[in-house]
Amino acid sequence: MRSPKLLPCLFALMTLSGCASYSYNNEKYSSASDALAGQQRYLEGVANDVAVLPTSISGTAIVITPSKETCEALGVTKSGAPRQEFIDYAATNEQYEFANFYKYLEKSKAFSRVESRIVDHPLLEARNVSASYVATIYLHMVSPSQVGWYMLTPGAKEPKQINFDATAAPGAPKINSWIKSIVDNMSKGN
Amino acid sequence: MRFTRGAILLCFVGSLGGCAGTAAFGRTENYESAWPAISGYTASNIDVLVLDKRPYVLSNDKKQSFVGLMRGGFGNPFDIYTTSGLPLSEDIEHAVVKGLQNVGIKSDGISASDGGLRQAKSTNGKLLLITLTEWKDDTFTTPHFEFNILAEVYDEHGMQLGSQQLQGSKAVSSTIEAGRQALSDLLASNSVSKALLN
Repeated sequence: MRSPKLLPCLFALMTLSGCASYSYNNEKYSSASDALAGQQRYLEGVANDVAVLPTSISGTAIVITPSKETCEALGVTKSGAPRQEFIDYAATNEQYEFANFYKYLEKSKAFSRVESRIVDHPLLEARNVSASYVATIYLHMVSPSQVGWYMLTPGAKEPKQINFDATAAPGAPKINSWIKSIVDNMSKGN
Repeated sequence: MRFTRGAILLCFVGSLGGCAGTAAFGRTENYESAWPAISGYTASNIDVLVLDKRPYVLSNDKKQSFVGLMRGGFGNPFDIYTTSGLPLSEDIEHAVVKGLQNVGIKSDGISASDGGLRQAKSTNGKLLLITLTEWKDDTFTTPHFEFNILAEVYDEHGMQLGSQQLQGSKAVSSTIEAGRQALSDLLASNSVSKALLN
């Protein structure tokens, strides 16, 4: 007779729980805000481990990254029929992930000064402001599978691609390779 | 004993109802985020107007914000509406404008009150008119997406520069991605792409 008594409680708990769970870096969290807090801790750790370069390029660079709306539209793969709260979480997570690249570049001291901007259309913004910065670094999203970092320098006709070292370990080593690609592009000129 | 059995049955049905209700009732779809991928660029300003001519909307059987059906555990249908609460045509207009702006093209949406408009508003501009004859998803175990859309491009004098109709009905992994793909394919069609981006 024990199990019949337990069954109603079990079903009630299942109904209440709604199976909601958020994950980041293979860790599970019970709420989106907890998961985003976990993400912030991870990203701060990565920023702390970014290598500081011995010399800085004179001038101000800007890092332009997409807004949450843009991340939701072009960065989140929506398979099945996900609830809007999960899409919101994924879009916010992605926006933070990209926006943090400003902190990495600032930490590296690759440039004497770094600014950041979050906009709906980074490509459009980059074209508008590139004459005012020694380097305009932006993330261009076309679809969830087509996302890339580019940079413009004053007078350049075409943007240059910023690459990651595919063999570098995740975290700071990967970020260090991204910063190296920027510095290499600067040394090549237009 | 009868009470216990009744309680178990009630909770079981309640659980199913909770699951089905949680999954199917009150669902919305955010087609505002179905920005089409645009290949190419034009210095022209593109006005975008989307008209909803779905028969069940024209007959007032469904609201303008209706986007499809989500089915519960027994296949019973629940209406899905736009997340914004706005008419579907406005969500799609927003998505197309954002898709064009994302590649640096100047673009604005036009109010549906200008539904009779057949020419670009600005000098050297273009009007992209999209007509929805069908746009509906139906999700039970697998989402199904059905669409029938027409794009027409007009210049500032009202001359039609190109047009393309596209329709389909298929099982998809995501209705939003399917909507994005339909819009991307429509705008990438030879006739519309040449008219818009030349």
